[in-house]
Amino acid sequence: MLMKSGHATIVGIIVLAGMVAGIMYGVKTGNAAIPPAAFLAGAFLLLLIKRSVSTVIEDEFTRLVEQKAATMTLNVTSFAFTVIGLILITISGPGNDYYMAVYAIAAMLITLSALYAATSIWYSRHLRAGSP
Amino acid sequence: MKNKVRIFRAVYRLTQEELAEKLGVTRHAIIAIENEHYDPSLGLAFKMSDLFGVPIDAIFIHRKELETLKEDDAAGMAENGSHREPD
Repeated sequence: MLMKSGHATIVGIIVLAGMVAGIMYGVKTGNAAIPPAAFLAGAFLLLLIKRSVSTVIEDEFTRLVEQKAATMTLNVTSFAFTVIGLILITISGPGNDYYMAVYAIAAMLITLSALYAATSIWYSRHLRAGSP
Repeated sequence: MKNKVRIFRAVYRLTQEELAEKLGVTRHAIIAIENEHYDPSLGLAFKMSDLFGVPIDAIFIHRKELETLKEDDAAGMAENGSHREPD
């Protein structure tokens, strides 16, 4: 069934609210199976909704916007967490032990950097594959 | 890059929404192209060319080409001015 963009947005918000409610219910009851199931079901429904929109909602322009937004988000996140990590490690001492938080931030930044490098190499190779 | 998408759209009496639908893109893309904030891909430029029935270079004007045109106009005007008969 095809939907117009406005209708899809409303249905999407309802699905998102249901997904959040499911996750919250799972957390509240302490059932570890419910939050992941609610998340996966919600993500699947959102994907179906996106595919059922009759009007064009994704094109080269929106993809460019997404690319720029993703890159900027990565840069800002990396920069902000590096600054936070440096501040935490500076003020850490007896009574103020932030080392665990710093390790977590460092692990996240290393993972992000590694993923960025890996996806950049993969896309570079993938996009070059078709050229002579 | 300069373009005449807005002019061609007006000639064909299309709204931004209608043009977007015919080209299979979002209205945001048409707005960005018309405001010259975004240069479309070659594929989209060819689609526009087919839709309006004109060559791509009739819709999109490269800045270098525009500068050449301006220089030609200026040279032409200077030439006409130098040959103008005194009143």
